[in-house]
Amino acid sequence: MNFSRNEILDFVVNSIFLDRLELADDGYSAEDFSEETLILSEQGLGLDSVDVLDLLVGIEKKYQFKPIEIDSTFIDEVCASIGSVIDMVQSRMKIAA
Amino acid sequence: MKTIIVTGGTRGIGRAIVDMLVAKFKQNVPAVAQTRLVVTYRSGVAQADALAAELKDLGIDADIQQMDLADLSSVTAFVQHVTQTYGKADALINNAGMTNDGSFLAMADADVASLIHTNLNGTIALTEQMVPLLQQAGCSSVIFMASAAGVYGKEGQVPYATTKGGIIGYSQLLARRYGRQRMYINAVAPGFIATDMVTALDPAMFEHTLNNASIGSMGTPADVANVVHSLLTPGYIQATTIKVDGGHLR
Amino acid sequence: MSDLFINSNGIIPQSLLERLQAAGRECHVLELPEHTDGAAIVRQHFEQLSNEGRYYHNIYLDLTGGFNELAEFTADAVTAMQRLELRLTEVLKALKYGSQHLARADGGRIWVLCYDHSVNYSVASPSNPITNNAVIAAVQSIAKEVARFDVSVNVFLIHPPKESVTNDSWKQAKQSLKVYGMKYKPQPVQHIAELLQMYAGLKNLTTTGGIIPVGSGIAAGNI
Ligand SMILES: NC(=O)c1ccc[n+]([C@@H]2O[C@H](COP(=O)([O-])OP(=O)(O)OC[C@H]3O[C@@H](n4cnc5c(N)ncnc54)[C@H](OP(=O)(O)O)[C@@H]3O)[C@@H](O)[C@H]2O)c1
Repeated sequence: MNFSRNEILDFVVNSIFLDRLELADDGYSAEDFSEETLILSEQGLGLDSVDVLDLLVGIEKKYQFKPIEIDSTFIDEVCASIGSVIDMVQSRMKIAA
Repeated sequence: MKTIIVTGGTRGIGRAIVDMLVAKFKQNVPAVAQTRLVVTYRSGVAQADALAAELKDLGIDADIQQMDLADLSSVTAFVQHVTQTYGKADALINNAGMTNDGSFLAMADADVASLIHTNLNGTIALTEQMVPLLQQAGCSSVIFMASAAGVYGKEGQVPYATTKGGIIGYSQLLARRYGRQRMYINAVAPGFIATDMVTALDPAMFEHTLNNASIGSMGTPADVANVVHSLLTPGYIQATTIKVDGGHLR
Repeated sequence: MSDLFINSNGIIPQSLLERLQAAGRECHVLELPEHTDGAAIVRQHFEQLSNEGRYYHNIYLDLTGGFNELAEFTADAVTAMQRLELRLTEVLKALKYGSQHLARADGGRIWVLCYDHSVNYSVASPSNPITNNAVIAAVQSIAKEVARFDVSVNVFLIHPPKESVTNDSWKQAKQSLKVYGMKYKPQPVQHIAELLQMYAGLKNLTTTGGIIPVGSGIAAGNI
């Protein structure tokens, strides 16, 4: 199975950020997000590493990945921006395919 | 002559403990001549030199030693130094410590290990080796700097809280073994105190904690030092952990 | 969905295991050999499990068997410290990989079993104040981090069961605890297991980061 960047963006934004992490309650809506949105940085969403676990576990389940080895370097690199998360998802899909 | 040891005493809470002791000695002038302060640091040479110079100006001849709790040979060398120079210890204030914060599920093994080695094993190793010197004093105090995280837990600080909980448990174990030999053993559990350890953190880590304390603001190193000082007088407080947390959730 | 026991040699996990199996529950056991690097074994176990797509619902981590810190530190502090480090590293690994595993399973429970060290004042039972306080602080902390994944983490702080201590020791305790005619009545292991089974069977568990006392209230109180 393959998902386009837009489909992944849609899942990350709507299912994870707005719904699961309840960013909608903080006044965010889908238009506020793009691939350039920074996740960890205070200049962006300013999420912490616990929030990011929700994102990674959500991705594992949605795309039926083998468990992702979650460590702090991985989080810093992969979860910098929504774009870098989408890169990770697509590269894992290639492995799975 | 009394010997009082303060680990990690060149900055933060440890430094406030040293300042408090010095102020007390000054109030009671004979105490200056009757007490020897031994202060350790790990790597901050500039702060150690600054403390030495300040104490010298005050007429206090303190002994400032480098010691790394995470390195057992360094701990042993320090105890040898105290043994050879003073032959006893009247008080051991185990203040030195460190933290590594973050989501536990994503924390690197090395960050967990360094906390266990420094805060828990290092502190225990130092105390175990000091026991004969404390016994030699006849009546002695041992104080551990635990943390509120070790009492009621703190998200983002799982291994740190584990080591501090462990230290609280160790204070109880030590009291079981030596409580009948006039060794007074207690722990202090600070909440958020304004030191380098805390200013390095993202305010999001502690703002909610401050709002959830009846005092509503951060404590100062002197607040903790006051409690430590009161525990240096032998009494009926034993194997207890005193929270200095501004009334967290109470 | 099945349950996992990390260490099951103690009489409490044994009794609980039998009850759960008798009730038709599938249980697995992961033994961590004493004084070895159990942390690596824990990690490997959960990795393999995830690869197979199998998930647990209850994970029990037994800390009631095989060690006594008060005795160990009194005998030889250096060895005692080495064992303490291994044990706490193991516990932290079990909490970490266990939580990750349950988060991926849409939730579950971790239960840590400890003996209340206060009881050691009355009977010859293990006194593990360092591990107990460390584990309680760890559980209170991690519970806050993983509650969002519907993973709950609790500690049972248990008075040693009747069968774990000699009759003479209980008799002595009874005699010395005569305050207002109150006499200590030790609990049979079956009764303790019954309580733990009840918690395991709750469909909705509304406690996490909890220290659940199991005993008759005489010695508890220093946590
Ligand atoms: N600040 C708080 O809010 C807070 C709250 C609860 C508990 N505590 C505890 O209170 C104690 C003092 O904290 P603080 O805030 O004053 O910390 P700090 O400002 O970071 O100072 C720590 C002190 O410990 C020394 N130290 C660090 N690692 C060491 C090691 N491996 N071996 C020997 N010494 C070492 C440092 O020496 P160098 O200067 O050479 O690095 C320094 O003197 C710690 O045990 C801490 O866990 C602090």
